[in-house]
Amino acid sequence: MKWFPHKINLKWILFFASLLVPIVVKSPFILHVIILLGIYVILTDALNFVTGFAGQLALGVAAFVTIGGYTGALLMLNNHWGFWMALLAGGVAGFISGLVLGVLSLRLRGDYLGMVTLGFSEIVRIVAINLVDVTRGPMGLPGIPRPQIFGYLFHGDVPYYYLLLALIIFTHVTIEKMLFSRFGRACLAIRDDESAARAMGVEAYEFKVLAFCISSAYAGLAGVFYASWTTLFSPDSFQLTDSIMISIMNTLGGIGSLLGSFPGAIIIGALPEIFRPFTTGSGIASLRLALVGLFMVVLLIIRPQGIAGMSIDPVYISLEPIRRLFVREGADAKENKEGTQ
Amino acid sequence: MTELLRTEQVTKTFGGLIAVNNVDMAIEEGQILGLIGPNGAGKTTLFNCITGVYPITSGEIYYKGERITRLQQPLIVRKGLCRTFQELRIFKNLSVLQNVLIGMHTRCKGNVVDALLNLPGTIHEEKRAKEKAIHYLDLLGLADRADYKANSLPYADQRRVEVARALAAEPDLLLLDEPSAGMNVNEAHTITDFIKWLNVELKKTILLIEHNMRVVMPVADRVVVLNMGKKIAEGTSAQVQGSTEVIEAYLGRDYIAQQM
Amino acid sequence: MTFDFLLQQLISGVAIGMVYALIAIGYSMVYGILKFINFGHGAVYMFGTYVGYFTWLFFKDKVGLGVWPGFLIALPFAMVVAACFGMLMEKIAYRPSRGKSRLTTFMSSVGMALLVTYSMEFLVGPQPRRTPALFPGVKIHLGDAILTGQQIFMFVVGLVLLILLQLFVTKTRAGKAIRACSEDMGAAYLMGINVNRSISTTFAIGSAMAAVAGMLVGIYYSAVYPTMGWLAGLKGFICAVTGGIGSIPGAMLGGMLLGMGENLGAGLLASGYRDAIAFTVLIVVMIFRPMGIIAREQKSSL
Repeated sequence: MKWFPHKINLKWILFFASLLVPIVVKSPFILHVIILLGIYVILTDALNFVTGFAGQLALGVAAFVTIGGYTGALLMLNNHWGFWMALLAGGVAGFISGLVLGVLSLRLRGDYLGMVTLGFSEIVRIVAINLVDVTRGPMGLPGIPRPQIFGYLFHGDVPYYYLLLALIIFTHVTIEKMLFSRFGRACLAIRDDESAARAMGVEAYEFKVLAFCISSAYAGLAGVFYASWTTLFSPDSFQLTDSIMISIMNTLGGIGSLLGSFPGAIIIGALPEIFRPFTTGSGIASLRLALVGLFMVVLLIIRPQGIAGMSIDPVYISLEPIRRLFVREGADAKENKEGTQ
Repeated sequence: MTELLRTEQVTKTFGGLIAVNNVDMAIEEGQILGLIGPNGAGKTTLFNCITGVYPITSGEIYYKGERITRLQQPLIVRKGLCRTFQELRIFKNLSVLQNVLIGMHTRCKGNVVDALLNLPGTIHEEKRAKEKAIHYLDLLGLADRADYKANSLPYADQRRVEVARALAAEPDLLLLDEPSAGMNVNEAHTITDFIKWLNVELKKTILLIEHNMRVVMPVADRVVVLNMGKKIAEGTSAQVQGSTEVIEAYLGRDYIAQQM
Repeated sequence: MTFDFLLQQLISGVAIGMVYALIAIGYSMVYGILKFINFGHGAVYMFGTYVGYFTWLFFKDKVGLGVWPGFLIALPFAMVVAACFGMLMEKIAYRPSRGKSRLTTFMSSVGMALLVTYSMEFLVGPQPRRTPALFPGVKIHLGDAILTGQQIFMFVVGLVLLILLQLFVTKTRAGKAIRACSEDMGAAYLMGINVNRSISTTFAIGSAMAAVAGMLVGIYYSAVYPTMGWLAGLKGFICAVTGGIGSIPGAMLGGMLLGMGENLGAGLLASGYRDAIAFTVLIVVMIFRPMGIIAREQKSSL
């Protein structure tokens, strides 16, 4: 068995482990939380594309989730579109609105850009509340149909979990592909030193806008998934404070890293649940946000690069101890063979 | 010899400050043109005007006979001009190889969609780009450190990375901004040889800003002197060194008076 | 669309505009000196308001002094506490990352805003609390439009404070020191100006103004609630930017414009879109004139 590998990419471990989750996890509440965390992972990855790979601050993720979610929900409810088409439409809607905002604001400097994206997010929310004819205002859109894939109608959380897993894998694989391309390289250069990148012929503005659109497209996809999962979508589903929370997940995980979104989203998302036994329901919500704020301040002082920093290298787990169990005999046999000659 | 770059009455003002004042100059293919002058003379500003970083206030710039005055930077690089920076602006957090690959940005193809679809053409293109990048690194003796993070290299090698990056853009005209900045006497000597090599072996026309006379005078075919935005002298190294205006610009009128 | 209707919108616009201006001052001055957007300002506004509110109730009811004496004690007290709080925030959260990236400090301020706002919400509960009225029933009728005592009070208080502030910044040594730091911090430091003290003073002033604004707003709308800082803070920022960030007259101009614009807009469109107007103004200003109306500095690009 000399071909036994020396190391294994962490991704494979995560993949196989995640396939087993619904089998291992018995509590529906925990599965519910896990699905929510998964959505946060996708959103953190989406944000990371803009912050980490194009170097722009964006605080308006919620806007694109909302736009994507409403697009998908309305198409499923009013026009009876299937889930996959609605998902695609949500992504496209996210892309286009990202284009609008990007073109308007990507010439602005860092913190100003943050405020404008925030403002845009609020405009989206207010419009959603007020366009009652279309969106039913604050009451939201109820009764969003559950997906039907190859004739199987989704029932319970488990099929949603696997769908989400597929979406997360899709997000990661596509982001990685884009990152290790000419486009991705150019984005990293823009993040590192935009003027120098331009001096080398990189079309910085256009690429930044494109990165922004791509990021918003992912957010739109997440929105459609969320709408379908909760079967209710309202302007409050994703708010300003959620945008900020995703931003902190991104910072904690490491802006510009490939795998940081996982620890970032999971820690921030799961942390407040620890306090569940100690306070009331509404107290939890306030406490979560206060903790998120505290986390952010402390993190930015002691470790602004987050957990994974800007690492885009693959993470390997050494298999040496296991390998030695299998390969030792083979090595012995080879020695014996040479010895007898 | 054909004329490669020509500036006509190029002027750049910032508010009330005239940084570059009606500068005419031309550089011919295969030449090394030195651009010298005291601090603040407008040399880097002129570079920035030529490469499209600053929009010019008035005047025209021609490259290979074509007007490039209002062109955006990416287009100018595609036409064949590339520069290095005085203060060294490599991509510190990227690897040496990635730095050079960015230099090749205008010379290779591939957009987002190609990347996502994993087309064989794109994969081939990337491979070709990598090989070419290694070739440039090899030319500058950096191929063994291709995967090192750029800012982990010693200063002199970082400068070489910057040149490799600029070369990767396959320019006909290379604009070098104070390549000997931050170097000691011995290293400066190698710069002179290096510039000659770029010019003769790699056939690059070179526009060179320099403060160090020991670097520029031996190697330049012609020298242009700027002072306070204006061109005050032009000629061969010898002609310029003897010019009273030039000496006055550097050392002051009193010095000239003292010499008399 | 009668004249009286317009007049009414104008009146309320000017009154609330003055309050926006008081909030905008905090953003403007901090941006002028440290060149970053202090997202936590809205939280300080809320905090100062609550301190004032509880103090007011204490002196009004527990000590039995009544509405006005209670208010006159609570207001300065709230200003002082808010000033200290603002200075504390600067020292803990912003000073450590001062040399580093401006974005890091901005995100710290976002974190601060969350921490303060939601800690308060956790402690006192999310429900709005009723504030006492200062001028119950005081009204002047101008045709069909009504000008309330509270509105006059807001306008006068705001105007007085802004004038005092402008005098402070132009005539006093401390004020000039702040302006020097805003122009060129390195040079100010070399001239022997205590830069840290100037920065702290800036935060103190902005926070105190915000506390006044919050009290006035709380009385005007008869309610205070923990998340009042979000929207007010954002609008204050928008005023600062519209008028010209770093400029005190700019803050007032921005406040007036936004206050009146909001009211007119809300009157013309549906009132639900009122807040969206502020954000639309922000985007428009950012695209067409990011330095604001009273542009304090000429920015050369690069």
